[in-house]
Amino acid sequence: MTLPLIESASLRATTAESAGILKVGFEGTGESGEAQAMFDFCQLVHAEAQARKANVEVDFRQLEFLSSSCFKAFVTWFAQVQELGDGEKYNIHLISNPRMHWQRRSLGALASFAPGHVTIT
Amino acid sequence: MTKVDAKLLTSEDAYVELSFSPNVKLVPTVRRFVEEFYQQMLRDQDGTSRLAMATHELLENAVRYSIDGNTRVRVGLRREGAGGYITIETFNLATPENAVAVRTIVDEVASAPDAMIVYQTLMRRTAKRTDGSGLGLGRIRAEGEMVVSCEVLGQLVCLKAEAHFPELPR
Repeated sequence: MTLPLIESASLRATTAESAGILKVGFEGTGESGEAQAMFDFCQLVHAEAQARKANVEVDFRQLEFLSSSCFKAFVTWFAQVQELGDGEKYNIHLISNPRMHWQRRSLGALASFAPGHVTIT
Repeated sequence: MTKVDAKLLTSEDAYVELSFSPNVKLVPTVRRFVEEFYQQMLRDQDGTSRLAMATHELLENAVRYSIDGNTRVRVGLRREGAGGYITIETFNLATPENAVAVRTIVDEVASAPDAMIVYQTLMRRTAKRTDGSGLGLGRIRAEGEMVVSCEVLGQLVCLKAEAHFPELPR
């Protein structure tokens, strides 16, 4: 199965599997115009994680900005993980960049929204 | 078309005001432009990041709901002692229904005792929405640490976000 990706003028997202972990990486900016692409991408990652019974690692270090329209894609995704049965839930680890100040606030809010399954470094 | 007006009113205060066509593709451009203004005024990366995010969210809202060919944003610095206030205001004409909807969400966000709790409430609500996100104003208050307010005069909607900085460089 083809792993999801985004390739646009302002945003690039890739997915790869390594040692049973689904690794997602973002580069660029998540502008409002990318909201649908971001939503579709996160939904595909969610489906892949369930199909492969894999935990997910999301690398935000190269993502310079995320609009609330794109942020919503993660909110929906993490809410779906919360609604899975106990044996189906998977963990999501977020990798942040301390030089991107928005990440401390936004990713912190995401982790608080889905406690127990979302961690940040 | 974009029009820019910037003034250094006194050695104490400053503002930048832009008018532009409500095109969502212009929002990142305007965000980056005012980000330079913030960086010069604050010389603080975290503060600049908060304000740039708030500007983007307000602009996106104004562009989405504008019903004529014009959206205006005004960013102002007002000094007070060693610090001061930075205010971001957007102005656009909206339908009566959208004006009511904006005022309702602003009232909910602004009146909540805890910014993060109302933000989490909006997250839970938006997780099930297919249209828009409804998160922007909550994000401005919780992540931007800003006070949000709304004034509706007929069809003119003015959204305002304000942040206090205890110290500002001179």
